[in-house]
Amino acid sequence: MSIDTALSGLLAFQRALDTTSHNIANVTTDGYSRQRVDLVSRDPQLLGSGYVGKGVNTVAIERNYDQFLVNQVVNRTSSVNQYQTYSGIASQLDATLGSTDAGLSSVLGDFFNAVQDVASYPTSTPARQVMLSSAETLNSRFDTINKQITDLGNSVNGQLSDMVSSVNSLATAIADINLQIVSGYGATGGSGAPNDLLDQRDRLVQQLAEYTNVTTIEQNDHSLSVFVGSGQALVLGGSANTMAVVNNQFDLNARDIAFVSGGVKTVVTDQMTGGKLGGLLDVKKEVLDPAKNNLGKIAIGLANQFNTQHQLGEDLNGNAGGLFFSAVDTTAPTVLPSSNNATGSGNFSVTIDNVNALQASDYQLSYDGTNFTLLRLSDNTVVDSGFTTAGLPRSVASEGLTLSLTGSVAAGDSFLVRPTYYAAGQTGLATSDPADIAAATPGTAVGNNGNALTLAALQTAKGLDGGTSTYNQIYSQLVSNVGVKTHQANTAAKAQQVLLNQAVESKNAVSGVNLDEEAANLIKYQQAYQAAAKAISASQNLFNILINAVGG
Amino acid sequence: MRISTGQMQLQGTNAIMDRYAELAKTQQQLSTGLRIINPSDDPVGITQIMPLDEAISLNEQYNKNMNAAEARLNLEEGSLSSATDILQRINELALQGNNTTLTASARADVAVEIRQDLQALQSLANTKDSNGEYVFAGDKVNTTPFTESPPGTFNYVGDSGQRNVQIGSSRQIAVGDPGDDVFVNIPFSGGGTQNIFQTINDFATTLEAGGTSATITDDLKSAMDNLSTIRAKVGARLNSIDSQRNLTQDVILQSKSVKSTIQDLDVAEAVSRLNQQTLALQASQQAFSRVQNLSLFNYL
Repeated sequence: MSIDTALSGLLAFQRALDTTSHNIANVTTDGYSRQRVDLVSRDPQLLGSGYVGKGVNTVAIERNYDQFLVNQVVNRTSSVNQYQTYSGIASQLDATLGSTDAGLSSVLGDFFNAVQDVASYPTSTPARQVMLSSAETLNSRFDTINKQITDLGNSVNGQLSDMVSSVNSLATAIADINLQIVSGYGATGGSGAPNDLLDQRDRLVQQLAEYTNVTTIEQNDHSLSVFVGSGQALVLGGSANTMAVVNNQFDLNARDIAFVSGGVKTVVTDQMTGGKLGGLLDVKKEVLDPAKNNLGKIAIGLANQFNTQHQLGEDLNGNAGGLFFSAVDTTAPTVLPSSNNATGSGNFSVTIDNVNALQASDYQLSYDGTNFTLLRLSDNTVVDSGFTTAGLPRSVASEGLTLSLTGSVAAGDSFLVRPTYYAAGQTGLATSDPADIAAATPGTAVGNNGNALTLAALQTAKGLDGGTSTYNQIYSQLVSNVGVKTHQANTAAKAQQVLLNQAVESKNAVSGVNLDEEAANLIKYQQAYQAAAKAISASQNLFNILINAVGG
Repeated sequence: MRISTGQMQLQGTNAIMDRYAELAKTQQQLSTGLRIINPSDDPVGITQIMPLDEAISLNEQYNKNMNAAEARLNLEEGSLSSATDILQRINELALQGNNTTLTASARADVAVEIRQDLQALQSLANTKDSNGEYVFAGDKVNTTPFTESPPGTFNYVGDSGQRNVQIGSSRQIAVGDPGDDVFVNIPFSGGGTQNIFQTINDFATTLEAGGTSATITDDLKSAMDNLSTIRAKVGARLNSIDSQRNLTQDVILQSKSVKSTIQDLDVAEAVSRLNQQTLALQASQQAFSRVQNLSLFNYL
C-alpha cells in the first residue's frame, strides 16, 4: 500500500476544504462565483495482476459561472439604471407641472379672470391693479418653472461629469485587472484561471454597465476588451482610453460626451445609450428641452397676442394702448453659432413673424458653401433648404420665422436657432401704471370696456398651433407629455428591475454560494480527509510491521 | 433550481422593499384623498382634468361677472322705478296746475313743487354706483351726465356707450343704459325728441307765468312709457342672468363631479388595498425571518 496514494487524497481534500472555506468566507461577497475543486483519479500503474490505482489529482479549481447569464445581468443593469435615472429627473418636473400650486394653469386662469374683472369695472383702479399683479404672478410662474427646468439641466450636467469620471476610473481598473489576469494565467502556463480576479473583473464591468451600455469581448490572452457607444474601445487589454465631458458646440450651458483616444476628442453624445448616462442624455433631450420650448411658446404667444390686442385699445388717459407684456417675442429668440464655425463668420438672428405657426422646437441651420439647410430638431425634419446668401433674409413661413445674417458665412458653418427656448425666462411687464391698461375701444370714454372684453376672450381663443390650440391647451399637452414620459420611464424601470432580478436569480443559481451545500461539503471533505489520514496511518503501520518482521 | 444563500436573502429583502413601495403609494393616496397625485400617475386622466379645471375657473368668473352685472342692473332698476314715481307725481301736479279754475298764485305754488321734483329726478339721473361711476352717463362714467347750464337749459353730456360683460363663453349682457336713451331720446309732442328735464322745466316756467300747457301730459306719458320700456329690458336682462347663472352652476357642478370621478380616490377600495398590503408586508417579514433561521450549521 503506497503512502503516495493516501497522501494524494489528503492533499486533494485539503484543497477541497480550503475551497469550501473560501466559498463560505465569500458568501456575502458581491459578484463572487462559488468555486469547486476538480478531482481526477491518477493514471493507474500496470502490475502483473492488472491496473492498480495511484490516488487522486487536483486538476483545477474552477468557478461555477455562465458567461451568458453574466452578460444578461450586465445588459439589464444598464437598462434599469437608464430608466431609473430618467424617471428620477422627469418625475421632479412632472410633480411641478401638474401641481395646482406650482403649475402654470391656475395662474394663467387667474390672470384672465382679472382681465374680466377689469371688463366689469373698467374705471376701478383696484381692479386694474389686480390685473397687473396677477400678470406679475403669471410671469414669475413662467420664470420659476423655467428656472426649475434649467436647474434640472444643470444637475444633469453635474451628474454627467461625475459619472464620466466614474467611467474613467472603472476603465482604468478593468485595464489593470486585465494585466493581472493575463499574468495570472501565464503563471500557470495558461491552465489555471485566476478565479477571484475574473469575478472582480465581471463586477467592474457590471459597475460600468450602470453608467452606459457596454459590449465586451474576451481576447485569446484572457484580457477583456470593453466597448461603449457605437463601438468606441474603452479598454483594450491593459490600456484604457478615457471619456470626457465637453461643452456643446452651440450652447455653452449644455454638455456633450466625448471619447478621447490619442488626445483626440470625438463627440459621441448621440451614441451613448443605456445606463445612467443614457438616461440623463435622454431625459434632457426628450423631457427638459421640449418642456422649455413649449413653455417659451406659450410665453411668446401670450405676450405677442395680448400686446397686439392691447395696442388696439385705449387707456384710462385716452391714449392709444402701449405694450402690456415685455416684448419677449422680439427679445427672446436667439441664434447660437457653432464654436466650430470659421473665424470671422458672422451670426444669424431670428424674428418671429407669425406666432400661430410657431413650433416648440430648436432648429439647426447649416451652410455647405452654397446652400443653407434648416433642420427642425424636435422631429429631425428639414423644413427649408436650397436657399443661398442672396436669398437672405429668409422667411420660413411654415415655422413663422425669418432668418437674417449679420456678417459672412463660410462652408461648414452651422447655427442653433432657438425661437422659443429662452422666452419663459424673460417674461416681464411693460408697464406698472394701472391707468396704462387699455380697456377701452378707441374713441370712446373711460367707462368703455370693449377692448378688455376682447383681451379676456384671448383666453379661450385658439390662436396657436395653426389655430388649433389655446394657451392652456398647449400647457396641458406639455403636462401630459411629461406625464407620459415619466410614466413610461417608471413602468420600464419596474419591468427592467423584474428582468434584472430574474437574471440575477439565474446567475445566482449557477454561481451563488449556498451555505447548507457548503456545510454538507464540509462534512463530506472532512470525513474524506480523516479517512485519507487513516490510510496514511495504516500504510505506516504496514511499514512498521514489515520493518519489525525483517529486523526481528 | 439551485438557490444560493445570498439569493434567498435578496429575494426576501426585495419582496419587503416592494411591499413598502406599494404601501407608501397607498398611504400617499389616502392622505391626499387623490388617485392622481402627479400627471404620470395617469397622463390620460390629467388631460381630462386640466380642461375641467379651466372650465370651473372660467365659469366661476362668469358667476362673479354676473354678480357685478346684477348689482348694477338692480341699481338701474331702482333708479328707474323711483324716476317713474317722480314722473307720476309731476303728472298729477301738471293736471292740477293745468286746472283752469286755479289762480295764478296757486299755479306758482304748484310750479315750486314741480321744480323740487325736477331736482330729485335730475339727481336720480345722476346716480353713482358703488364704484363712483355715473350709471346713466354712457361710457363717460366719471362725468356728471345731466347738467343745467346756463340756468334753465338742460344738457346731457354723457355719451351713448353701453357696457357689456361676459356672462357665458359666448354670451355678453348690457349692464346699463346710456342716459340719452333713458331721459333724452323721448318722442316730443312738438316733433323730434325731448329732454324730459327741459320739458318739465319749461312747463314749470309756463305755470310761474300763469299759463297752462296742453301737451305736458302727453310728453310726460311718453317719458313714462320710455322708462317702462327700459325697465322691461332691465328686467329681461336680470332674468337672463338668473337663467345663465343656473346654467353656469350646472357646468361647475358637472365639471367638479367629472373631475372627482377621474381624480379622487375610491377610499373604500384604497383602505381595503392598504389592509391587504399591510398583511402582505407582515407575511414577507415573517417569511424572511423564518427562512433566515434555517441553516445546516445549526446542527453541526
